[in-house]
Amino acid sequence: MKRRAESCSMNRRAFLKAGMAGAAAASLGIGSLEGLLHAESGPQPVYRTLGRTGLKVTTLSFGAMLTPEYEVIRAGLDAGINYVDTARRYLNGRSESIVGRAVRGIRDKVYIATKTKPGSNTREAIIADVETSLRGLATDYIDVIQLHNLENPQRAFIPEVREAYADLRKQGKVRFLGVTTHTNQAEVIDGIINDPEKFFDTVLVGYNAKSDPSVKQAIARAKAAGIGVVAMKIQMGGYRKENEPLSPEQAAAAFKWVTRDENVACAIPGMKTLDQVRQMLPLMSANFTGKDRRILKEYAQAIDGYFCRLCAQCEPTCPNGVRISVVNRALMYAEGYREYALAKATFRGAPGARRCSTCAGCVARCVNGIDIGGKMRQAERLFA
Amino acid sequence: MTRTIAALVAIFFAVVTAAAAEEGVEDLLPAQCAPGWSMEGKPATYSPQTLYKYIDGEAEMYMPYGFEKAATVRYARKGGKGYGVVASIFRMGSLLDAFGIYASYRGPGVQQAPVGAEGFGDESQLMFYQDRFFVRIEASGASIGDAAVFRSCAAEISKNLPDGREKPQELVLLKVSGAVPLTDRYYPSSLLGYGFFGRGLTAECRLGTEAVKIFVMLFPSPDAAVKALDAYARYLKTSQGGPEAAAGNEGTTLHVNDPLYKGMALARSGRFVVGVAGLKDTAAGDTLVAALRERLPKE
Repeated sequence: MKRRAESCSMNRRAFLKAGMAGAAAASLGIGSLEGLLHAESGPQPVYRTLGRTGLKVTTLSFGAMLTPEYEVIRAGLDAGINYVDTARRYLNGRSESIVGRAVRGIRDKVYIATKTKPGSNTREAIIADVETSLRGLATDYIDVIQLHNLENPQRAFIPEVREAYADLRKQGKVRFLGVTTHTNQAEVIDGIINDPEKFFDTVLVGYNAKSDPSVKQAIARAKAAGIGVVAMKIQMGGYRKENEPLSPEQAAAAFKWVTRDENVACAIPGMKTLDQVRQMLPLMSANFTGKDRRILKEYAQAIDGYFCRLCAQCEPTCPNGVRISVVNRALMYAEGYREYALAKATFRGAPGARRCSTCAGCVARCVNGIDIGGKMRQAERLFA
Repeated sequence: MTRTIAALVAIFFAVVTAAAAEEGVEDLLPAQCAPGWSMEGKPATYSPQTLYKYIDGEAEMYMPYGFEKAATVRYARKGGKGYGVVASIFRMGSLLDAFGIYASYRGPGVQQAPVGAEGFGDESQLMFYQDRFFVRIEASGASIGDAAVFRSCAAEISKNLPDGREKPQELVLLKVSGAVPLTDRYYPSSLLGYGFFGRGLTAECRLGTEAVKIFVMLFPSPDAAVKALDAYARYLKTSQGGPEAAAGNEGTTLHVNDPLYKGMALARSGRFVVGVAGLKDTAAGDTLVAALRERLPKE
């Protein structure tokens, strides 16, 4: 079985080339991968230790869940990223195949993290998942295998699950063990921390500027307990403000906010295009600034004040019976998801939507402070 | 008289189909998915805002495909010892969108299942699409499922969906000699991983002994296609990959050295851009480009 030499020198050299070029490319407003790969100097890469695994991982790591082209992942790896996260479930296993193709020839320079299926809680199922993952990834070992999507700590303590994971580690098919959690995160993390057997080495957790303080505190406790913390969902859902896509500055600020917390070993933003890889690469050595703080604050406020929760509590306050929540959903399709045909069809199906155009002034009120009149006018402009 | 009856029948089916498309997705789940297999509780439904609660970050992938609503429920039979089947129906934006999300799960070597417009399955799951619905049926509580139950469940759900065995008409654009079956995919944005490219189709293809990727980009207008190619040309210029000719020229086949895909040959025709990626010799892609252009509709 091949084993990775725990050296960062190759990646560091590659990253030194890549990072500066990325920064230069960004400053010049150009997007040259050649430039990314062949410049001679640049900002220092940032590696952190992934808890007691001892792995030195780049703070910018690769969330490969939705990346359809292996070439995009490979570009990120060639530029220095050394940790890739995928899962057995993603794309029905195709994501693992895509990652496997991306690491071909450089497997010893990249750490691969994947996950057994959320429903796999028997020895048979877990072993079958890992064997399938190994085939998909075209490798003979997985660096970090994770129990997927814990909503409470109990699943991490099922004896059969632990036996299967332990056996796989003994066989050398997996190196380190982790869990992932999206809900009830602080409780899950604390459950792993307080495990007397210290069975799991890492936690993959949703963490961003809008996270509950309890998550931040749990992450700090995890780091102190020797558990490696990997952050996901760092961009607060990637919501879009008004009619503009999430800007590179907002994405950058969100990444820097997360990685300035040194209790986080690395973050795994999903990157689907080369542009996104290029924008993120120079951020590894960038500081979180006052400007970033302002950008994030504005972004968070934009999410709070703009995005309709579709609770429909406003609808009784409209004297014309407009289905405001349906109109807002149409706007979300148009502005958030860029699905204009669906948006228009939704608007057309919203009872009373066109009555807004004959109304002198909007008296409907939102309990969350959304400017309903403004949104109805925006819908009129887009769809009427 | 015969024509009148035929017209009435057609209208009836059209109305039934429209009604099926409009009713709640949860109503499309049958009470029994196979003899003896009954629904456990009520179906859970998910909107674009809540889908992540069901499939977590994977939900992001569904949104560009016009995801509207999903319903899911578990079926089990008495004395089943915890083994069950979870069926999920996702209503997507269109037939092409439903194909797109379906194809993103379809890997090489899958065993096809004769249900819907296209389906595949194994001992632990079955997936298919029909009209603008994507259906996913999975084993629950056991590592190995029962393929017969999956097939029965798929057939029962299929009956409740708008009738439709046809695939998206756009797929014929990739039907050229050498195209590898069951590798066609639809991406609603950022084709080939480039933000300046929009939506389009790809497939794997054999060109002699080479494995290449063919693609068709679907732009809303010729101007949009030209703009995208101009953006690509600017990107290539900074990457020292060419091209020599003005990128948007109608009919000109461009040969470029793409940083991600190496040799690429591509050409614009109206609002479409067709091409071949992964070529060792870019000129060798000309025949495939020509074949792809032949498939384009005359507009």
